Amino acid sequence: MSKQADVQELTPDAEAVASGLPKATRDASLVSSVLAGDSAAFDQLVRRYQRRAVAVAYRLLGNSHDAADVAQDAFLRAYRGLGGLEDARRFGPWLMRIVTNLSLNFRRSRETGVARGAAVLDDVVEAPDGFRRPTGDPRAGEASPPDASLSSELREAVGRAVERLPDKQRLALVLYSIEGLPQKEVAEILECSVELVKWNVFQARKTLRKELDRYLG
Amino acid sequence: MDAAGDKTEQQEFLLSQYLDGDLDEAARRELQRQLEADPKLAARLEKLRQADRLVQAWAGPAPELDWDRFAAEAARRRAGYETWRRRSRILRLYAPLSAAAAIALAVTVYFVAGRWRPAETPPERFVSVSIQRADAWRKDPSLGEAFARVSFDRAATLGTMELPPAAAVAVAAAGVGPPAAEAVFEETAPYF
Repeated sequence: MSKQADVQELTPDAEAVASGLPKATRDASLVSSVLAGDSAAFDQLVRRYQRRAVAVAYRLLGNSHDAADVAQDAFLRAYRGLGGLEDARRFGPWLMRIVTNLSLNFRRSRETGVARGAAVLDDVVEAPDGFRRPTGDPRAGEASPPDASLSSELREAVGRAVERLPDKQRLALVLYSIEGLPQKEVAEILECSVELVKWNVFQARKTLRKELDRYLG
Repeated sequence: MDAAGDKTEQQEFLLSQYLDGDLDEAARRELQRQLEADPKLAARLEKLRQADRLVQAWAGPAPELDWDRFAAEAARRRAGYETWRRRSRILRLYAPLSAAAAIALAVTVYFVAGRWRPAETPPERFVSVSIQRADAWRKDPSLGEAFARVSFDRAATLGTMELPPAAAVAVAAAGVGPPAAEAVFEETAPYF
């Protein structure tokens, strides 16, 4: 399983440890501050979750440009809807749920040709290199080089197989197998039981095993 | 799915959980025993593991962006939203007041305008001028600036005409008029 998420969350975790509070409690404290009028506290939440938000969106959308845009949108929606968050300690899963929902919506709109205008995207990103990639090719905006050990044919085959997975299976696979989030957190994000997460991951793996059988030893 | 298929599915589910370290100790040992005894099962486990690794290799590392700029952009959007929200709040607060003020203003204007009359000019009077003989016009000083109606008694001849008093006076002074007529200026009721 990938440990990327652990690496990405290193800084925020370290911050939480330094504050002497569990991460969820620290989140709750920040959420309370925001709700009390300290909107700057939200900056800390952004910094804490921005890597994961972009990473999850990137896994679902295939390019960093769209991923950054969707993640920005998710943060804004989270800020607007913060008052409706029932358990402030669950900010992380709640935010990721927004990210995944927006990403799926974005995918659907892109598939039906109603992708958002470039102007909107440009508005987000006057920015770093990784932001400004063409969006036509799902992998075109890849900020990081693909694993060189995979042939282009194999990459395409894996990509197609993942793309064809039902949403729930793909989400479970992305969040658990690729992003390395704990099953419990994945279950919270997907609003289902841990058992169902395991089942969806299994179904995804089984499908991939069948689809990629000729590439497996 | 038949019973054999069910068993295979269940076994494969166990393999998936085994990969994730989700099995309890007893189940893990039992599966390990089966794996040692069944090469096909072991091969299936290996393929699941390989498929998982393939997906991870395909996914690659997450994008690395300029996170400071990303956070700054998020703050900028949030500030934009806050500005919009403040304006909306003000609008929501003052919209009813503005509407009430507009209505009050409209009502006031309606009543004020309804009661307003232009500055009253002196009631216009017309003067009936009966012309009995044409050889004499008489001026009536009471005409003032009011319009005068000059009516000719010999209606069959000239009928009635309205003239500004000055004109009527001028006509009278000039002695213009039907012959053998006499103008009689009679003040009558106000014109309106």
